[in-house]
Order: sequence, then C-alpha cells, then structure tokens
Amino acid sequence: MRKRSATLLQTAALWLLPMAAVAQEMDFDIGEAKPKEPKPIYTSEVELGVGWVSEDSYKFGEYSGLETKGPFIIGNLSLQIRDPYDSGDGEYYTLTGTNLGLESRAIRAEYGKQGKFGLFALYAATPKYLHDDARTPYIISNDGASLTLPANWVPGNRNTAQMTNLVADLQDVNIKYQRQKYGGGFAWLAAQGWTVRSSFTRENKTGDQTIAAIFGSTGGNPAAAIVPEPINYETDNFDVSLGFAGKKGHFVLSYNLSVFRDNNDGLLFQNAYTGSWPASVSYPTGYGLLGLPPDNKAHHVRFAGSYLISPTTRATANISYGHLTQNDPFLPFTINPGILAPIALPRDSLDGEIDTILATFGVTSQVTPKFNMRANYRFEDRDNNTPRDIFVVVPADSANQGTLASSTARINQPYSRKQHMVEVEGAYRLSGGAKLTLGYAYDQLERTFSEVSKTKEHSIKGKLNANPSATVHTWVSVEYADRNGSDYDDNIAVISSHTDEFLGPDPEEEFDNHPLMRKYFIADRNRLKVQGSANWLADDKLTFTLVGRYNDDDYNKSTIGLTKSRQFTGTLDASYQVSDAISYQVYYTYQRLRYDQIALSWSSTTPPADMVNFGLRGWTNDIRDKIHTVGFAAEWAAIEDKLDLGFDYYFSRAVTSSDMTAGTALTLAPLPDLKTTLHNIDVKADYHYSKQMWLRLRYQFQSYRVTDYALDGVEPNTMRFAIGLGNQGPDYDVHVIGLSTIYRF
Amino acid sequence: MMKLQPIPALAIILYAVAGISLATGAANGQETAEKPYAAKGAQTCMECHDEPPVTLILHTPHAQKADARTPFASHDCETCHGASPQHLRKEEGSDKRPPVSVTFGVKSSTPVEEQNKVCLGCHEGGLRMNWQASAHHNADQPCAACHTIHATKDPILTRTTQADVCFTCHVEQRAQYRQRSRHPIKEGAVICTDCHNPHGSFGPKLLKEASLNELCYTCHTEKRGPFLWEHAPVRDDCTNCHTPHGSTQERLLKVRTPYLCQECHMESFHPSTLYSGASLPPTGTGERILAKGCLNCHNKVHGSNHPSGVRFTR
Repeated sequence: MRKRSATLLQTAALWLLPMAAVAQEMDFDIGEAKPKEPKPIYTSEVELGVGWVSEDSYKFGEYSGLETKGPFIIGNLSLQIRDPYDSGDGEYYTLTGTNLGLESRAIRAEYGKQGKFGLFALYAATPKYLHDDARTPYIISNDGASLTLPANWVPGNRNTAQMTNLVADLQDVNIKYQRQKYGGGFAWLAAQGWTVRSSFTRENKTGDQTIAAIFGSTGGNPAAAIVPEPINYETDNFDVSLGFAGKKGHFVLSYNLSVFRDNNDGLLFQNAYTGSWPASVSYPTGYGLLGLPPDNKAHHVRFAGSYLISPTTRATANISYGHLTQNDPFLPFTINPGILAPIALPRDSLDGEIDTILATFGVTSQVTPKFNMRANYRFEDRDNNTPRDIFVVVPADSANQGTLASSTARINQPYSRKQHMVEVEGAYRLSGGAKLTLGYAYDQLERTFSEVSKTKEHSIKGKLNANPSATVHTWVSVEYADRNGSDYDDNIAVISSHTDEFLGPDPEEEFDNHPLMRKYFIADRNRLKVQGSANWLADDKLTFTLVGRYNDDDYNKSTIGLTKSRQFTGTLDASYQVSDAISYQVYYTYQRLRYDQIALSWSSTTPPADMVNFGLRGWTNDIRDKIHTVGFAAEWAAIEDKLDLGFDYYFSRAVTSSDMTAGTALTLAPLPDLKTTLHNIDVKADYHYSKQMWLRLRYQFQSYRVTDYALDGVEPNTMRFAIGLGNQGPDYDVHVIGLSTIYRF
Repeated sequence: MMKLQPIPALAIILYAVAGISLATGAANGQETAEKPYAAKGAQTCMECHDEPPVTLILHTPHAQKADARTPFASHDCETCHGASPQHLRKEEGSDKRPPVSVTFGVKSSTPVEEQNKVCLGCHEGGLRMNWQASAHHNADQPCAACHTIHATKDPILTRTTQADVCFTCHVEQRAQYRQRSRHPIKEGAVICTDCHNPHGSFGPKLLKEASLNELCYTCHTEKRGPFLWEHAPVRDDCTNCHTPHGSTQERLLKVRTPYLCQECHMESFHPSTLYSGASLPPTGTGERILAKGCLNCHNKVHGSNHPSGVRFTR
C-alpha cells in the first residue's frame, strides 16, 4: 500500500510539477492580476530662474559666460515626447537647451520615426574670455585688422622706457572670442541594416586673441608689441556616410569635407619703435603686416569595417584617404615701401597639398575559452606634396631683401611622415578570475627634412589582473619601450632650407642648432611605464580605490635637450553609499611631473672648445610640477520626496619650480615658483513642492589665485623691447547664487 | 636590430588570422533551443517591477516596439535579461526569487562577456565595430559600467554629465581638469567623446580620428595648413608640446616657454641663453621670459604662410 501510494505520488508529481510551474507563472499573468495605478513618470522638464555673480572675472567665466558681476538668467529645458512604447508608431520629438541665458548656450532639436529616420538641428555657442585687464596704446580699426598709434605717440629706441606717452595712451581692451556653431543632419534607415547619415555644420569663430607684432631683422634687434589679433573664422563641415550592419559584418563608408575661411588676410600694425634698421621702418612710417591663418580645405574618404571570420574571430579594417589643400594668395614679402625687395615671390600662392593615407588592419580572436589575442597593423603616410621654392625673405619688414646667396634666401620644408606599426597582444585567464596579458609593439616612423630620418621603437608590456578575494580587484601593468633612431643629422635643417649659393662648397660645415642638441620627439629614448589599480569593496556600501601611474622617459643619448621626463600620479578614492538617500565621496590625487633639460649658452664668437665646456657655459633646468587635488562630495535626500541636498568641494594646488644650475661664465638667479590655488564649493538644494514642481537653490564659491612671475606686476612698459598688454594672473573670489523653478511633465 | 616592413607585417597578421580561424572553427556557434519567455512579456515583469528606474525603460528607444531592432520588439525585458522562468518562482522555503538570467553592471554575477554579448547583439556596428580591440574591452568592463539604460537620459550620453561618469575611473584626468588651463568640459562644449571613442577606435588612445593631429584639426581648423613655413614638431604631433586634459601652464602647454622651446632650440645667441631669475626686471629686460616668452616675437609657431615668416614672426 505504501509502495503503491509512493508510486502514485511520484507519477502525480511528474504531472503536477510542470503544471505547478505553469500555475506559478500564470500567477504573474497580467490578465489575472489586479490592475495597478501606474506611477507618474516625467520625461520633460523646464528650468527657469535668475542668478547673481558677485565679481567680474574673465577666468571664472572663461567658457561659461559668467564673467561679469551682476544678474543672469538660468534657463534649461529638456523635452522628450515619444509615442508610447506599444503604440505601434515610433515617432519622437526632443528639444534640449542648456545655459540658455548665457553665452555658452546650446540647443538641439530632434525629430524622427524610430527605425525609419531621424532629423536633428543644433546651435551651440562657446565663449572664451582671455583678458579683461589688457591695455594697449594701439587704436584698433572696426574690423580689428589695422592697428595704428595715437598722434601724440612718442617712440622709443627699442626701449619702452623712452615711450613717454605710453601710459597715457593706454586704453582698455577686452580679449575674448566666441564660437557659434549651427547646423543639422539626418539619419535614414534605408533598408534593414543599411543606414545613410549626413550632416552639415557651420562654425563662426569671432573676436580677439593676442599676438606679437614685431619689427627687427635678427634676434639681436627685435622690437615687439603684444596686440589683439582679430579672429573672424568660418568653418563648414559636411559629412555623409553609408553604414551597413549585418550578422557577420559591419562597415561604414564616409566622406567628410571641412572648409576653413579666415575673413582677414593679415594684421596691419604701426611700428612703435625706432631702431637700428632702415629709417622708413621706424615710427611713424614703419608698418608691418602679419599673416593670419590662410583658408584651407580637407577632404577625407574613409572606410571602416569588421567581419566575423569565425564565431570567435573578428577582422577589422580601416582605410582612410585625405587630401588637404591650401592656396591662399601670398602676402608680399614686405609692405614697407622703403625696404628694397627686388626679388619677386616665386609663386603667387603656396599650392599646398598634403595627401594622407591611413590603413589599419586588425584581428581579435578568442582562441580558447581562456586565451584571446589581438594583432594590429597600422600604416600612415602623410605625404606633403607642397612645392618647394626659394623665398628671399624680408625679416619682419625690417631689412632690405638679401640675395640668393644670403642667409635669408630660404627654401620651405614640407614635412612628410610615414609610419608602420605592428601590435600583438595575448591575454590568458588564470584561475580565480586572474588574467595575464602580454604584448609587443613595433613602431617605425620615417620623417623628411628631419634630423632623424627613421625611428624604430620596440615595446613590450605585461599586465596582470588579479582578484585576491571576492571584494578586491587589482591590476598592475608594466611597459618598457626602447626607441632608437638613425644617425642624428644635426644640420639637416640648415642644409635643406638654404640655397646652394649660401651653403657654399662645403655645406656639411654649416650648422645652426648646437650639434649636441637632440630634439626630444625624435631622440633615442627608453620608456618605462608602470600602472596599477586596487579596488576594494569593503561592503555593499563602502568602496576604496587606489590608482597609480608612473612614467619615466629617459633620453639616454641626449647631451643637450630634454634628458628626462617623469610623471607620477597617485589617487585614493573612497565612496560610501550610506543608504539610497545618502552618499559620500572623497578623493585625493597627487601628481608629480619632472622635466630635466641640459643646455649650453653659446654665440658665434664662442670658441669651439667652449662649445662643449659645460662647466663654463652649460646650464641645467629641472622643472618640477607638484599638484595636489582633493575633492569631497555628498548627496543627501534630506526629506524623502521633498528635499534633496548636494555638496561638492574640490581643491587644487599646483607648484611649478625650476631648479637651475649654471656654468661659471653665466649669471644665475633663482626663478620664482609658479603657484596656482583653486577652491571650489558647489551647494545645491532641490525642494519639491509638488511632484512636478521643484525649487532649486544653487550656490557656488570659487577662489582662484595664480602667482606667476611672467604676469604679476608686468605692465605694458615693464619689458624693454616688448610692449605688453599688462594682463595679470587670475586672482578672484567669486560667489554665484541662483534660484530657479523646475517644472517636470 | 630587427627590421619589419609592411608586407612581412601583413603576412604575419594574415598568418595569425588563418591560424586562429582554423583553431577556433569548431568553437561556439550553438544556437540555444526555444526559450520559455514570459507569456505577457514586460507586463509580467511589471507586476512587481512597477516603479522607476525599471519602468523608465518604457520611455527610451530600447522599448519602442514599432522599431523591429529593439528589445521590446522581441521578448521585451527578457530580450536583454534572458528568458527567466526561474525568476517567476520563489525558491523553496524562501521568500526570495532566483535572479533573472542576465543582470547588468559591475556588481552583477553575470560574467562581463555574457553581459556585453547581449548589448553587442544589436550594437556591434558603427562606432563599436572595433570593441574587441578596445582598452575597455580588455579591461573587462561591462557596457553597464558606463551606460544607464533604465533612464530617460543616460548620463554618459548627456553632454553636461558625461565627464563625471568617465572621471569615476579616469581619476588622473579628473585632477588634470582642475588645473590652470583646460578644455571647456564642465560646460559641455567639449566632452570626452568629442575626442575619444570609448568603444574602440582605429587610432591611438581610443581617439575618434585615426591620427592625433587630424583630431585636433577638427576644432582647430586654422592650424591645419598646410603652411609655407611649417614647424616640424607641430606637424608631427600636437602632444609634443601640449597636454590635452589640463595643465599647470597656460594654453595646455607641458612646460612654459622659453624652456619648452629650448628643449629643441639651442641655436647661438638668444635661443641658448639661460633665462633665470636674473632675466627678470630690474636686472634683466624680461622680454624672453615674461608675458608670452618666446612668443613675444615668434608669434606663428603653428606655422606661417607669410613669405617672410620663416622665423615665425610674420
């Protein structure tokens, strides 16, 4: 009986178990459950309010537009209207606007039918406030492209101290510019997997930056003025692409055209000096013309694709062809009619052309469940086809033109570059979630008109990810690279840029740069890079993260130049999620950057023996940056569904010091440290006086101090033969308070 | 010294591809059998999960049933979270339910590879076609480490909040961003993905463009040239002189002038002169160390197109 019962039960169970399972799932069937009241979800919001800035500061508002003391409008909006997810139609509209009351405003609108097409239009503005304390004696034309001196100007003989009316003639000039970008585009899903995209944007960049306006034919007799440089640029950007996404393969074929136009050709300026140059160069007759950026165009055709060769192996390819052109008409050698310049320009414009080819081919594969690898080959050819000619230059509108045998008869050097790079990397998963990655890379670069025609760099790296426990995740990586170049041809710049007539029968004897100089970007170099991270989830709420990086570049064969470059960065980060309502984060980062350079001061009269006498004429400069960054942030839902509070503080302190030594023939005095100190506090309180209506109170305090010997106390007449703008380092305490209402719907 | 030329290099890669393909030909590829999805799809899930942030998914493109590409055009929540009949039953003797088949995030018990496979099932093309070669893939980062799907606005896809997401891991860049010169990241004018493609790129450092200078020229078009008088390190690589994430010096320079310039220029007279405290007024005249340093005269260091601009003074 008992056995039979058991058998019956077992038999019944075989039937009942799946039925029970079905029944349990049926319990969740919406048709049998009580309908619930859906909770409101708001996808759109509008914020409107007013704020107040307590102090003028271009630095504080350099990108935001909050540069002026006084009120400002707070305006942000985000509208999202989508057809319900199950409506059967995927129409959507979005409108996003940020900082609408400021010069950093941005607006983007989108409309489309999901899965069919999408359209967008955008407008974005970004200011750049540079100096609100600059002063110049120059009278600036309306278009900013002409600078003249006042009628009462008293020139100085390459000496600003002799400009007795300089201070009286100074007038304030605000140095700032703004980018304004607008445009639109579309995406069209032409067929399953096929997408066509296109966009057009135009960016206008207008305003001023600063530039040096200089006279003087050599480094021995310069006379300069820092002046506002007009910016009146326009850049058009057009993109069109065809993309395909299939089960095994994807590709995008695209074309991009970028056209840059500068509405000014040059900057005309009057000489404020007299000096040891032809009389016509001096004030008042002497004028100079600076070249401003020439119009240019860039075309790019690109193909990028990937293909799944096998379920575990993917191949990728990226091929790009670019054609960069620039053919703006040349300005004359000089505009000074008193300067003799009988040798004509060899051409009216550059006819500059750079062709670029870039191709990368890669493969990634999960060779076994535990081992994956990737390999990559990169070829980049930057072929500068700009024609070379002899230009007998007129140095800074300040000397009569030389001859074809003079040092001022120069040949342009259109630099080209070619790169081959191969990378191979394999990663093996060890037990316990650990992973070991080993890699090798070879990078070969060939450059034209370069002291080093070819550099080769081999690098190896290893990385170990390890999880000592379920709550601790760590990784450490070590990379070593060895870059060697072909023989350093120290006088190639002289030989390739001067005429045969100037170089004479033995050009190899000519040199310009010190023969022992090794330029760091092409010099032999050993690089050691060590990085690591440890992340400890102390519990579900508390997390500690330690991150470090050390990079040591040793230019081991450089006698003169940059000899060492080292960077260390360490960060300790902790976050504590007390509850859904309260969270804290605190961090500290220490950075130490070091650049060591060795130099030797010499002139054409230095005896050859002294050219290598470092005890006499050598000098060194070890530049060190030490930067401390501290941050603390907290978020607190003080009253559930009523009051949210946020607090964010960060501090950054940077000190740049120069530790110098000098040979006995040189004069040395310590250089003051550069110091930057920044405190920033942001406090936010959101009071929800209904589910749809919030009141937001924001307060920001920022204190910023810069101690910079290059700016502090440097007045327009501080430098002997350069009229400055007198702009000082930033120094401010700014309070910003804002009150706004947010309506959500 | 080893010599490696392009053709042999290509051959190596092709050989590797062939070998790998053969080695892996038999692996994977098994389609799963028909899975027991919930009969009522998302409505079943929302019997319990009826509050934000879960329900926010309904207001995102992922949930749009009219678009055949979306998860909700297939099995709703279970398209991503996997068929999860086990989740519909409580564990015996417990009030808890077994989790759904696939959960997302850095704390998820679902292996990262499995999580990302779900996302890449739809999102493998376009900007993500090189994901498998990316640093984030190699670092075993799940897509959900950065992306928040159950939100009407994914913070990493929002210009004003993106950097905060990136800075949670990229703490060195967070510190650099506080320094004296920087790009307008906080203001949303330049954001991380304007320069980087975190899903894998064909260039270095996950850059969107395949070469660094081409990337910089997308905004700094006036520096693109070509110029009559080019400056070799400028045409070579912008980061020879600049550090893009922030600098203690103005104009994102690694080192200020004149010392930066003197790392390459040691010509006779003033280029090789020692500029120390003795060069400052009143002992010195100051024009090569104050204000713009070397750029007080050499104003066109990015290149000059003026016929007399060989010394970058025109």
